[in-house]
Amino acid sequence: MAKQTDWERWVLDHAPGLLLFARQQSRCEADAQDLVQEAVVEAWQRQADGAPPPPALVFATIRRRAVDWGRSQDRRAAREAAAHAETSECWFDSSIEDRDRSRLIQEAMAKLHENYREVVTLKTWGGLTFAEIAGALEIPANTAASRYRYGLEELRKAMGSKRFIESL
Amino acid sequence: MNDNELERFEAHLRSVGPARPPAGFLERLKSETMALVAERRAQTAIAAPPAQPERTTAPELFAWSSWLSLVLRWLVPATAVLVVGGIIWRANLPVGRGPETAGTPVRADDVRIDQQLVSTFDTVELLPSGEPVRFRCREWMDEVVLRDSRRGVEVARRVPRVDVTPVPFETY
Repeated sequence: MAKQTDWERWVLDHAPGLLLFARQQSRCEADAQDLVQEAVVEAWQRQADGAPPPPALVFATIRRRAVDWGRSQDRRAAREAAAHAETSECWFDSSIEDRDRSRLIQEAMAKLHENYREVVTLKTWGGLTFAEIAGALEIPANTAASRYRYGLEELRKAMGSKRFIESL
Repeated sequence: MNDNELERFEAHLRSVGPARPPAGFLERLKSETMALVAERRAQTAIAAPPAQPERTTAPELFAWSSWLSLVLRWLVPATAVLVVGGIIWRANLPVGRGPETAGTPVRADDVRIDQQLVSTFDTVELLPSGEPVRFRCREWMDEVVLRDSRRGVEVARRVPRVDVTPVPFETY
């Protein structure tokens, strides 16, 4: 049985990445937060020993629930109604020195195809291996790896290669 | 993009971490998980089973029933085949050589009855009134022979018999 301190640490460590992924899966901040909360609870309840669930399981649950929600007409309508406010939430850390870079990455990520965006997010900010990503997205590991590489290339194009290279 | 550029780009992306979740959401998530942890602890404490004798677990029961169903699946047709085979085997047995011949009665096709007089003698005894009485005694040997020529069986029985006849004195 996990101690409460373990859970607090787990939440603090993984909540940013989970919420980032949920924000990309849902176009409404409220839905994203609900997705994370319900996925964490569901994944936790699947753990027989009460230990914190593996992040890959929570990411997979978020994605599955987002798909289920997307099939609901009511929720879809609500999302569309709230879509105008979607850009108000910043996906990435927006401290003073990184604000421009964060906005640049977010805009590029938003333009990225969903298949690439999922893999890039899970690998870069979720810390998952390709095998875990394959399990979460129900795709072959080789596909996950190739999508990651293509996704990075597309992302760099979208961010403007010259400007980006100069900034490194 | 070559591998070197790819690694630099990855490092660049990682240097910008995900946005910190809103404080209200973090608190809600933490309190939700804490409540679940407490609830699970309570359930574990209540559901902690006392020491019990060894019981068959569900997987063991499943394995046992699987094994049993496998055995029954083969046992039933095998039994049917054995029964049918037995019936055919008994039907094809030569007459008189089957196990049932031991139980069938002997059919005697030759019966001989013989009486042989072994000895004869007279004796005189006195009645309580003092009157003398003569008895003629004959010892016989009765013999019965039964023969079942088909099975080659012969049964012989010999029984001794004593015939005592009072004889009046007047006959003399």
